[in-house]
Amino acid sequence: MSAPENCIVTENLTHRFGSNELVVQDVNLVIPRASIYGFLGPNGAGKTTTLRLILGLLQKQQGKIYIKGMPLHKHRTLLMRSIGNLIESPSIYAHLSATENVRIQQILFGTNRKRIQQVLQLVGLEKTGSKPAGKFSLGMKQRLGIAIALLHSPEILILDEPTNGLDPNGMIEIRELLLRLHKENGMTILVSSHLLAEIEKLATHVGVIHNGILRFQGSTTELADLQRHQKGTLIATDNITLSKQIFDEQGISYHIAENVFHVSVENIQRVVELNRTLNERGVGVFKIEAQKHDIETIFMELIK
Amino acid sequence: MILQSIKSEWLKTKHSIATWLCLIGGTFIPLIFLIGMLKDHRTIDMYQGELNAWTYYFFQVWQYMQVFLLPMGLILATSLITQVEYRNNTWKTVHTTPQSYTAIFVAKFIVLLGMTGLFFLYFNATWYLSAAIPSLIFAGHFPPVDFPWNQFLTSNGKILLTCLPVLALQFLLSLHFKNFLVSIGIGLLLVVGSLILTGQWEYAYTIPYSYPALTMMGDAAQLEKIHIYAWCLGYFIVFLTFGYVLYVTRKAKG
Repeated sequence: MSAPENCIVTENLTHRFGSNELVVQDVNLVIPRASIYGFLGPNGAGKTTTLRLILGLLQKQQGKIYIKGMPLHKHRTLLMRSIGNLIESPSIYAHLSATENVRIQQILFGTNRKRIQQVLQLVGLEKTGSKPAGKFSLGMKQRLGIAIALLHSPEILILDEPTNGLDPNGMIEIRELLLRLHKENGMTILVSSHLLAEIEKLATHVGVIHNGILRFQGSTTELADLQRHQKGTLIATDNITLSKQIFDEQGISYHIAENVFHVSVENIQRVVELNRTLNERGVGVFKIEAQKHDIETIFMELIK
Repeated sequence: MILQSIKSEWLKTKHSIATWLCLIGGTFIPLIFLIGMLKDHRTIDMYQGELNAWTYYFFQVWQYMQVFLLPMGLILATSLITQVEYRNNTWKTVHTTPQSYTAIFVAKFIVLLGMTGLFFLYFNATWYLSAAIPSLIFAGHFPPVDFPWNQFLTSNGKILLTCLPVLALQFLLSLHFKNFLVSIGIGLLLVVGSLILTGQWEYAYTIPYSYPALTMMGDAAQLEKIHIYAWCLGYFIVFLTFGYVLYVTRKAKG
């Protein structure tokens, strides 16, 4: 049987805390094999809840979760052999050394014992000796968490805000490590973050979640297409009704957000003409601005 | 897989306070006796009477341990061992390893039993030395009376049996409640409550934490009549089963 094209798929995944608080709503994630999927959203958007559901840490209420084409609830223990994860803060035994922490996982996954030193070297913790992990800095703990996640050379790596608490240098190191794992091992990486710049430099695919709803999902190429569609000009006037009438007459498509028109005109000459027409018809224009079309603007638009 | 689960759980007890508690708790009372005997130049030969000197000395040392220190030690050790995942925020790692929930539950409980076994080992070894060393020093030989192996092993087994309800209920509480004060608080209340009621209330044997004290302080014929060890086993099975169901059906696992 050939491996499915998509590594992780969720269908109408919905989760409530208590009876009313809907934290994840009909989320249909499609994470292609060997992709780096950036799962973006502001704090409290539902990222961690979605990841915990995918890992079986929360009991599924509604919807379906498939990993490597298999339903998670039926094959949990088998699938966990293929997944490495780091959810929220590092999860390590403070009274044990880095080696002992990794050893616990090595016993459970049955990997070669030499692998312990390999992963510790990979994250630069091979010289910590018998120092208890509780005395590590946050960055070291985070790297130990990543070493544990990588120990069994998983096909899928699920990381929730892996650069939290790291200094800029640490963030770059983690990013380079993930890129290398993706490139050399073809690992599928699902990484959540509220840091847009981080994902922009890393991901091949992006999903944007806000208030529990998946607002966008696709490859970075599709995101770039969305950026192109979003191109245009922001115009603020003192007469919304008359402005709408003029745009309609001119056949210009637009939408309004916070009393500002987003019009689908980007040619400078055409913008000048439009401004002149508005003025001639007695409409005061107090703002004209080329609409930014970087990923940050798109992100802000998506989570509005 | 279960062996790997037990091995990984056992590794978690390394350098832990629970290990030290087990060592210190197990050796404390026999060491006090040893010091007392050395100070007073005594040996267990002074115990003359119906009982074998070894047996007499065994119960004398155990009585201090069994009534209060043993249940309290079990409560603390169970909380320390079981709550290691809450303390370190590691349930999410445990539950994303390729182990079944049953294997995790069983492995954790076996480690708990192993630590209790180790406690008994430390106690008995130190107890033996506390009898042997003064004899060797002051009499120049080991205690001359025969060592009552049969009675020694049976008594240890019975005491261990009285610990099982405490272990199972404390395990359930420590697994279920994140706040360790809940499990320790409930355990302490039950120990103190059963101590007060033992000897005062004819149905004290219905309290699951009363058995270590009852077997030490109660009337042996009466205890036989009420099948006290069957009560121990019954409570143990009920608490362990209930703990398992609560654990497996838990909605949030990290």
